[in-house]
Amino acid sequence: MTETFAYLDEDSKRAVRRTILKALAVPGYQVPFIAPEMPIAYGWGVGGMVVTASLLGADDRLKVTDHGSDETVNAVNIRAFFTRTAGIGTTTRTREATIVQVRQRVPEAELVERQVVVYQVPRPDPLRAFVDSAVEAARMHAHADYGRVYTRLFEEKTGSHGAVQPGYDYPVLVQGRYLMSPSPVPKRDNVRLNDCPAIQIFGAARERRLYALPPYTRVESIAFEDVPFDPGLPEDGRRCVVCGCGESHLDHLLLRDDGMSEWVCSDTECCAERADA
Amino acid sequence: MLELPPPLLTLDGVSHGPRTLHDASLSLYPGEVLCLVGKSGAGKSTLLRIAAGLLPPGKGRALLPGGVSLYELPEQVLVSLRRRRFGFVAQDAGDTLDMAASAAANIAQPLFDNGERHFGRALAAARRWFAALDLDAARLGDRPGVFSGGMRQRLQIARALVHGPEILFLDEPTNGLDTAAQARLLTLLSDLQRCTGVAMLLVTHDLRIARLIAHRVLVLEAGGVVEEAPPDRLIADPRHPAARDLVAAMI
Repeated sequence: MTETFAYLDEDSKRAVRRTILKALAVPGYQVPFIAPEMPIAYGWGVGGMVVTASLLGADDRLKVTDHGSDETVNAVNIRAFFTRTAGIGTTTRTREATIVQVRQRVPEAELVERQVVVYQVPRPDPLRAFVDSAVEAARMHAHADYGRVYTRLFEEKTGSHGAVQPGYDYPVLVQGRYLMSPSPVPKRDNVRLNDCPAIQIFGAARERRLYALPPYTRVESIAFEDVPFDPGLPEDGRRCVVCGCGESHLDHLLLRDDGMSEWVCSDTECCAERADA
Repeated sequence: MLELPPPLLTLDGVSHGPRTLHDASLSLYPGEVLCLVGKSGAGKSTLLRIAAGLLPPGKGRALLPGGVSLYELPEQVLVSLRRRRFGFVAQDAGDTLDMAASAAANIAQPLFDNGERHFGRALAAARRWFAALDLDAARLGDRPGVFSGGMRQRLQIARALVHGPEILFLDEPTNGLDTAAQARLLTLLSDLQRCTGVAMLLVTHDLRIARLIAHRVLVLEAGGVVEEAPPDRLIADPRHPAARDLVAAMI
């Protein structure tokens, strides 16, 4: 038995590509998605892998990051998987890649028009935080019934119980119409989704949903008219121990013998470039 | 002869279920407080929910000014109309309040549902209604679970009125409150009605409440409207046996 190119059979890839086209036609709208099986469990990045598999061509170069890092087990294994099943080249440099598959971060490096960014998404629908029913959530999206999202934002600013909206997976409004989950990226990454030259595709295999942002789509983080979105600036005094940068998104990675914390850049490519400069 | 303004809402021969409600009609006029009274199981709450756009009747129609039939509107138009023009106060505050959200967020939610996207305006409205309903401004951030029963009912009323509805529907709003809290709530409702001019359709099984607040009373018995009168006339001269039972129960 011979493996097909990039593991998936051609019919499945064609079905996924049709879904991608529909998702690009209605930015931010969650399109039902066949999410064929991959050799990892649903919930571990199948959505991203399926999208990548359906898009890959023999000339593509693939970059994969997990939490911004090219070196995690997830990133290394997904690259190895596609190298083996598609024979394509991989890279850790964003500017050399045609497809960038990511989880938990938007690449910090500049993206360009010829690129596709593929996100792995665990929970695609921000409204499911408010309603249990998928049918009711779909009705709310259809009618742009997003009052509850603003109520939660209001609650955060007026309640006695502190933050209720996490600092990641902060919902965005696409082209002023559809509420969308940016996937669990830190909310400061939301600003890079806006007006991005690259195509961005979000695959949620476990939930069977796929959505997309065509190039240069308007993406705004949910905010009040009189209280601008706060992207959450880096905390004072924290710097990456590798490159010294205090502006990038830092991971709390190392504990020193004396019990003090250390921080490193989450985006390993940009960190290495800064360290080499 | 005094000419009445057109009714804000008309129920025309509505029925529900095999026995719950049959051929009930009512008209609610601008600025009016109309009480639905009757013993348990008479169909009061069902009639209220039909009037509030929450329960389609099996037969009959709910009409808005201009002959618009409420339940023939597309679903989203009905939802939007209900949110803009109606307010609802339930027997149990847990049915309308979000117990996991702050009091301020509970009051402000109808504003956000109606498209408000300005934080300052929403907060000012929540504060204004907190003060109007004699609630402690320091507790704006508290969740409804830590408020007393009477305060929770007042929170519900604030939430139901914050967006300036034309009609306020109240389903036994004094249920479970002690006598003093009932009196305070009714005085408050009376004052609010005079200040805002909102029409009220109020369900109660207690004629004393109707006497304190209503302009007109409908008596329901076994799913039908059996008598209609101003409260003083009804109490002085009840004509239907069901009305006589209610008057007797006042003493």
